Amino acid sequence: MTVSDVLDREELMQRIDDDLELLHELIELFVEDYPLLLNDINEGLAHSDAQRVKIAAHTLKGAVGNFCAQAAFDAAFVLEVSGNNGDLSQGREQLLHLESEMEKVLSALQSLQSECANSC
Amino acid sequence: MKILVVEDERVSQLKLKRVLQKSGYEVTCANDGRQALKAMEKNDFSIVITDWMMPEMDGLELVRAIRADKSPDYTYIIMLTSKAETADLVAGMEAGADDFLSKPYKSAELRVRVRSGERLISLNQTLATVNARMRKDLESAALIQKSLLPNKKTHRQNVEIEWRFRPCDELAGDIFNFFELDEDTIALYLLDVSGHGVAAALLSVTLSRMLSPVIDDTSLLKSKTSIAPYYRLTPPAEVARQLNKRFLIDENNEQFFTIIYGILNLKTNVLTYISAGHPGIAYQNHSGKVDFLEMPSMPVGFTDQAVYEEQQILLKPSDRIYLYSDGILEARNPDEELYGKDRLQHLLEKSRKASLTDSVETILTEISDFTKDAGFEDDVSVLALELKGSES
Repeated sequence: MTVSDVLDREELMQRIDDDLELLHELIELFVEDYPLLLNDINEGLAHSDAQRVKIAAHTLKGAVGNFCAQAAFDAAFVLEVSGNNGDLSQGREQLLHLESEMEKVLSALQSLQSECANSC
Repeated sequence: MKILVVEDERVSQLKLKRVLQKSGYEVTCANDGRQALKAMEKNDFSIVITDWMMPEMDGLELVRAIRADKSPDYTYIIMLTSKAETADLVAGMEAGADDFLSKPYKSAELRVRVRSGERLISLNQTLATVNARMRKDLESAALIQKSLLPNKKTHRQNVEIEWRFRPCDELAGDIFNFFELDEDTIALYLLDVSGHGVAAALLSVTLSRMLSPVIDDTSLLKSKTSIAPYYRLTPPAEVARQLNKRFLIDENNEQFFTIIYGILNLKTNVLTYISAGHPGIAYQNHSGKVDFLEMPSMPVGFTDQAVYEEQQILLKPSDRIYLYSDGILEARNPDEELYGKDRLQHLLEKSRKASLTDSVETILTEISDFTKDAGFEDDVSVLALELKGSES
């Protein structure tokens, strides 16, 4: 799987004005934050707290949206909608899907970072 | 320019911050609405860019809170929405947001939105500056105008004169005065230029210059002659005709005015006066009964066909006359009722035993009470005269 399978690289670079330093900072923050948000969703599901699921999924959606990673964005959105509707019956599966998408995003971002480190 | 970024999600927050900083803005970040309001207490931000969904206080509540604050400086608010929230746009606009930016957005788009906010802020500031200067000018103009009103009592022992003036919020169109034209004559006038504001005030000031006891090129009331006493007092009807000739309305000047001008002969106690479309003089004898001396006539400037006829009234000791502007009769209470002549008549009759000063003061207090919080829509002027001396 290449970086471009996971995220729209061209769009991403355009949105941040090709600022690699900024990209680096954004990735660092993202790597710190996304496990906490996944954990939040997990906790929400465990306690059948739809509101918590909704908010954490919404936030994660916003974060991952910055990297133009459509599949992960959509996976987070699905959970946000479930939380919003108060229907967590599919929550576990949805979370598993989101987690696998997030892993893809993470590895794509890591390769993007090392590529940039080499080229810059 | 200072920008406040309100966004709970750190990656988006950082991205916003960097993009704006690179464009030269001074950026502060807050994680939710409550933090944002705190930051705004400490600093003035011209532009606030806020996310919609946030913990504690969301974007919509924040926008409402900012708009509820009556700070004189406008805050331009851009709301960030994700595509799914576009339906909320109306709610955001109604709350007072100026613009929206939907996520995901390109840096270039963010920059142009911020720049258009910046333009609006700077236009606003220019307007505020110009407005403040104009207000100051108007205040000075109002002061100048006030300085043209009577400033001292008459020293004549057999005549007492009192007056009150209350301009409406704008510049006044009312002006009045009294003065001695010679040893035996006191002149008095009260005029009301249509409308108010700068145009009305300019005309009223011009008129006050012409209606002066000084003999000069502009004075209408007194002119030089070659035989003793080497001056001539212009009869009131002639004054009205002259004014009407000079101030006839045309396409450039649609203003007109109503006026009462009179001269009181202190030897005979006869008041000779004209009214040009002005509410009738309230005449009160010692018994307290009030008569309105109505005289149907055209305001000055309406038509060159206007006819002004002099009236005369013999004043007896303790008789009072009140000249007033229609701001009194047309004062409106919260139920939209007009104050009117009957109320004025009743009030004057009630205050007959009071001093002239108090009776004039009472009129203003009463109008103020009558209009309640509605305020004075028009200028309110009163000029009153009482003939002193014992009744014969």
